[in-house]
Amino acid sequence: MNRIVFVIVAASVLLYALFEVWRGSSSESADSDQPTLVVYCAHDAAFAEPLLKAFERESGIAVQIRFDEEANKSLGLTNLLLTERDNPRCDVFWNNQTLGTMRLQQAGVLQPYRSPNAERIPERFKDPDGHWTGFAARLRVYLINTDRMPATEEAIQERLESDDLSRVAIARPQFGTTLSHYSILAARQGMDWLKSWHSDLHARGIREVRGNSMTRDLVAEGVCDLAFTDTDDAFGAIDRGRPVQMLPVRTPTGQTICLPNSVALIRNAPHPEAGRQLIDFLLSESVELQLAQSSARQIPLGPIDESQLPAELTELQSWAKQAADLTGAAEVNQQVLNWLTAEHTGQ
Amino acid sequence: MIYWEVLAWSVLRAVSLSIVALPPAVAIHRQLRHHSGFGRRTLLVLSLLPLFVPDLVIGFTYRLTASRLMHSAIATELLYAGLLLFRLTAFQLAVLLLMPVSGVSDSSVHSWNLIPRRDPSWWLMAVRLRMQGPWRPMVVGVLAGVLIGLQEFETAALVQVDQHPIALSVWLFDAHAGGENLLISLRYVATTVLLQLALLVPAFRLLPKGEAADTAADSATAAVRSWTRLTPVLFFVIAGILTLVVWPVWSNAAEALIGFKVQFARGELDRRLVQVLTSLLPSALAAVLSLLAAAILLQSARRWVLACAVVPGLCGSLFISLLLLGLFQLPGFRIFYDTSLPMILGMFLFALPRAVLLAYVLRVLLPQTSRHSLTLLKTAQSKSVRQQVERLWWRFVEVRWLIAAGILTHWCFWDVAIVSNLRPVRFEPTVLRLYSEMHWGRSEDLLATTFLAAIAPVFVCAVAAAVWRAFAKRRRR
Repeated sequence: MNRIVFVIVAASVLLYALFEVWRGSSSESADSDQPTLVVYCAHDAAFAEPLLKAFERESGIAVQIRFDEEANKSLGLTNLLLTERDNPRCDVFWNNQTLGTMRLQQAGVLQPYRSPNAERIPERFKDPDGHWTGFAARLRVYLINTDRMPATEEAIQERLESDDLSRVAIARPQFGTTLSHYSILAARQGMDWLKSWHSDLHARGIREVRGNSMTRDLVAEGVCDLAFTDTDDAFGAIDRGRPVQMLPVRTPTGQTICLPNSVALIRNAPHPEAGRQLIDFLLSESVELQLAQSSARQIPLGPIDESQLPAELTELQSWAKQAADLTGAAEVNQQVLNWLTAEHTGQ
Repeated sequence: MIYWEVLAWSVLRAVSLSIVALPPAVAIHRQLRHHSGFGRRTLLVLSLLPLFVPDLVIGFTYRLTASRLMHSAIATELLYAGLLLFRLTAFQLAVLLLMPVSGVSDSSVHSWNLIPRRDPSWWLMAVRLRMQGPWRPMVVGVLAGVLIGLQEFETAALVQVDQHPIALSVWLFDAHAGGENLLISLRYVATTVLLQLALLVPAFRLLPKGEAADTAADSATAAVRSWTRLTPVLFFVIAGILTLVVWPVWSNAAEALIGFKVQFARGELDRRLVQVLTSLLPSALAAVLSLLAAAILLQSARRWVLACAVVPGLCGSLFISLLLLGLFQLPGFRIFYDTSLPMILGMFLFALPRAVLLAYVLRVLLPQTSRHSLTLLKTAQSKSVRQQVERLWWRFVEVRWLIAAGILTHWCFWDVAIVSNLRPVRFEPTVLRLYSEMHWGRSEDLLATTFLAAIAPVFVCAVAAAVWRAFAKRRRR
């Protein structure tokens, strides 16, 4: 009896899977002029979903979105795209930073596309061959608990040079924007400098926590005095009325670290034409303005109607203009990741 | 911290906590055996409730506490140990309740003790008698507790702010997510699987092979029905309920209510409910399949086939999902990549070892002879006998299998790694939405949906049970 029921249930699952295959292929052939675009999106759904829905309404193209899961759980859309390289189901990748996209470019996963709207983005925030284009950026910042220490560059410097860093937090550098931060430092100062800086911070007891939102919470709750985080996380604490302020993280040569979103077309994407339309849409002034007006306050990279920008973005825009070039960072990104993984596993 | 250090730390914690969890589990078990009626049922429900609180809720509730304790490694470890201890106690209690107590009577053990000779062979037999007798449920409980402690991931990941609590499951995840080669990751996992098998094999060997013994005559757990003994038991159970149920609900209820109001006002409540129910479907299918497969394997397969079948599940959901992700990229399998098949297959493999355990327990609980007698009586001439048999069949067979399927569904539903890696693009399971909302800090939405997700499966199980019973009654008429 058990065997019969097992076979029936297993066969039903298989039949349903076949039905899904058939439905997928028949809807593609029937609606080839109205394709369903598949977008992998690493930007937070709360901000990205309304924009992608607006695109659906404007273009009449249906969009299926796969968001990145919370950093603690996700192996990342970048890794997934690498796995799917020979059989892509994704058309457009909207990454919430740039280095992962550059890694995909190096692996041959991306298809060049020069969007007309990419003209408004400065050269240093886009690939010269059009494999990807940056827009709406974040900055790496120090978040300071103002009840605990003054929010000045001198006070931060003094704290970072002290012997005890047990009240300073940084996110685990194997993931997210902290990995980009490390890669930029490696590109500018060299791997040896980075390794020595990293081990020096740890020798003095810096707290390495699971993510940028955790570093923010530690400072906002007064558990730590100072943390490395991103502007969008920092605004989360500022908007909740916590006693915090932010100042930009700078490289030893004085440059800030600006990490734009990036958008790219996938090589052999099932719907390249619809994908190009979405890229044009995302690189428009209107999308950059909406992302700037969101609670994440992303910094527009192209020209924009300044009168509509939130006041606090003016200072961020001036910091973004002092940003370090990301090109070299992409080249050492994998090397940095390999070293950090070896550090983690003790090999 | 290197692999062996993390492994040693995790094993040490799992073993210590599993041993510490045993005395309260035994004490609760004794009280349950010597009480009846409403008091017994209440104590039973309260004692087992911690098993069914989603890890996400516990981790989310205690994340901020853990961050405040960050400067003390000991305090963070103690917090995690406390959270795990209450659940291990509930788990071991479940094992004690389900395990037939003894194939060796207490009088046999006593008789052996009366033999005056005390040489090594006497001691060996004394231990063997106890292992087959009064110690058996406790040893199985401890071994299974160690397994659960080692596999625990969600709470450890959520309360791990800095280095502590050190947990192997989290360490393995970080190593792989950081870009560690899959083969090297699998090498790490292989050691862990061997360790788990080393625990499972003796546990399986200790499980009785056929008939369940009469447990009522056992005096090993005899206890005096007195409030003096009941008080510490109640104290422990209440502490567990306060920590794992009341505090998470109390501290999050206000935000959850706001979340419900907002969702209702935006007309999103029904969408969320549909999402929960849709997410439940693949989990339920995988649970039913794994339970059926477990029953078939236990009925007919050799032990080595059984061991091979449970190995993928012992590797953990992360590695099942990575292997299937690779498999469904290969020609021949690729056609099914963006369908529900990889996800359901992943859940099935993940649930199979647990399903084997549950199916085994169900088999032991209703020996073949009793089952056969019931089957024969179903065709009795007398209508009243048939009705009585129907009631017994429902109570001793169907309800138990339904509960087992419900428990497996619950485990599959709340697992993150499989759905995160293997789901089709158009399908967004509730549990992933919850993790994303936690990341974005939208705690009202998160908590409202979590409560919905925690309640809906119970409601669906209850409806399924009612439908099943009505259908079964009609069929037998």
